[in-house]
Amino acid sequence: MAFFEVKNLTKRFGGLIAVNDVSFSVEENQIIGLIGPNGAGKSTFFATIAGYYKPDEGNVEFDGEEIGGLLPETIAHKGITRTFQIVRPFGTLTVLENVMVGAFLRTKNRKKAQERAEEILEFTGLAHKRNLSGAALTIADKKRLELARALATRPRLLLLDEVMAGLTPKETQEAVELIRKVNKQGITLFIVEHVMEVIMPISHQIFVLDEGKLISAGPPDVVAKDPAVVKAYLGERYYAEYQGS
Amino acid sequence: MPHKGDGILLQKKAFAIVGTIWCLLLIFPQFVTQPFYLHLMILIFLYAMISGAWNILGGYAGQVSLGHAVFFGIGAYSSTLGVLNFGLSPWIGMVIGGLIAVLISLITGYPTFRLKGHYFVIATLALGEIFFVIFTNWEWAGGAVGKHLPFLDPGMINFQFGPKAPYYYIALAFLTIQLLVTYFMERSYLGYYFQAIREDQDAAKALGIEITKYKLVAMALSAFFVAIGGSFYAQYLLYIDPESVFPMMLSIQICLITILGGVGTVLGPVIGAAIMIPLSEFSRAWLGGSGSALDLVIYGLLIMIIAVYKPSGLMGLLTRK
Repeated sequence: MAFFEVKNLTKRFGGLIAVNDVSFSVEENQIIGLIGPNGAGKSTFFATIAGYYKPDEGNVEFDGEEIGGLLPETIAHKGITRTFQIVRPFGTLTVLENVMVGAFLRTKNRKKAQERAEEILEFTGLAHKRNLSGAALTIADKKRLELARALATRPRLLLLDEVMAGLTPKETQEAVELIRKVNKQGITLFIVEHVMEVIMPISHQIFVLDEGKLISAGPPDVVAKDPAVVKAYLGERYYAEYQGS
Repeated sequence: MPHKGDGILLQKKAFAIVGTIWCLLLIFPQFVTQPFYLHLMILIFLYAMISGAWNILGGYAGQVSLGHAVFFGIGAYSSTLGVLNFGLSPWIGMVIGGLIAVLISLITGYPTFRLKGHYFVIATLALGEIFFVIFTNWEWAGGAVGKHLPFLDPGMINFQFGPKAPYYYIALAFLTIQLLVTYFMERSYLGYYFQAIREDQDAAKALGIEITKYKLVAMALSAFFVAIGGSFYAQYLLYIDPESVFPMMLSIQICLITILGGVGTVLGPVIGAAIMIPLSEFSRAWLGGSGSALDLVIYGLLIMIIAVYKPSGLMGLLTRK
């Protein structure tokens, strides 16, 4: 029994097939990278497994339980939490309060939730900004807050949607360190990422989507050399030249 | 951006000020005995309470309802019909009214909470009109003529008194209870969840918040206190009709009071009511019946000024938000 398994997942919008018959499984405790060119269906795929879209076909299994088609809040209760590509802090709440909202999933006690939130802020390096409003943070800190809030729900599987997009190289490096630290705590990470040179070195497994289909899967070094991946990213003609050189 | 670190000191100060004002209100009827001023205070307490109740749903959870007069009317009719048709004590009728309001809020909330933003507002407006029409045509409940309560022996049991002071204290007690409930709600996970729902529903879902369930909790709490206010109103005036307890204007007024004072704050509706109610009563007293709409003109002006210069309401001036 796999920790997390996707079986023949398909999601259509009218005539457009955004996710086309995707199947794979994920082991616990890994960092999984999901890459693909623009419009490949990565975000739709994420939204579908997180419950924001109902799959048209196929299923998702988490820890032996079928979760395909469940509501996002139910899926969060089961231990899968997602973040959003476009950051969505609760603007009128402080950083600490934002993280407390996440912590309330596992305890309704205010004091315990606050303690949990303080720990997470320490862990994610946001402790000194705890009293700022969520809206007042820089993009890098907002992304950090997204992660902190998600962590506060005590997930076993964390779905990160482009947490490093738009960051400076230094901020990206810090984010990578944080992701590794999260993984060391025994949390499985599933990361959608555009920045190849960032995602390749930290992932145990890479899945590549193109036009809704899973075109390649495996360890990063294998996927990087996969002709199908090179074609998807650079196009047929460049692939031929690349072969020729 | 004020840091919440100095918030604790500010909070202590706020507690001291609120406590002092509350104590002064407690002895107010000992010094001021003119019925007009007591009447004014009673109205302020009543409107502060029902606006505060509206604030739980509209301010904290961000679901703007323009149909809350429904619950006010239900409260008023429950206690009144309880006395007239079943010989119940108004207190029991009041509790039953509160429970009926909760039930109706849940039945109507479940389908309407699927609507977002403007569509939810429109649905609540329609709900208000539906109840108005039902009660206008419902003969058993008095129809358009309404219902008079008979004079009974004054006293707590019958919820009727000769002087205004007892009404004053009951209204103050109701307001105090509503404020305490809101205060503790704000500090509990409910307050956090309501605000998360107001700020971003999708993000709230990702953190495991069952949106509809918590909106219903906010709606039920809100409906209950508005209904209590309705029962109080009926006992205070001893006469109700659909025009006076189901008007759309009431729904709009409690919304405006909250916006003026500060949405999503415990004391905002109190400040709003303390300004709006005297304004409307004095303009009515000074200008007579002919100028009855002038208070609404001033309302409108105030709301525009607040919307442009201080969207967080007058509470925003105090907390510098």
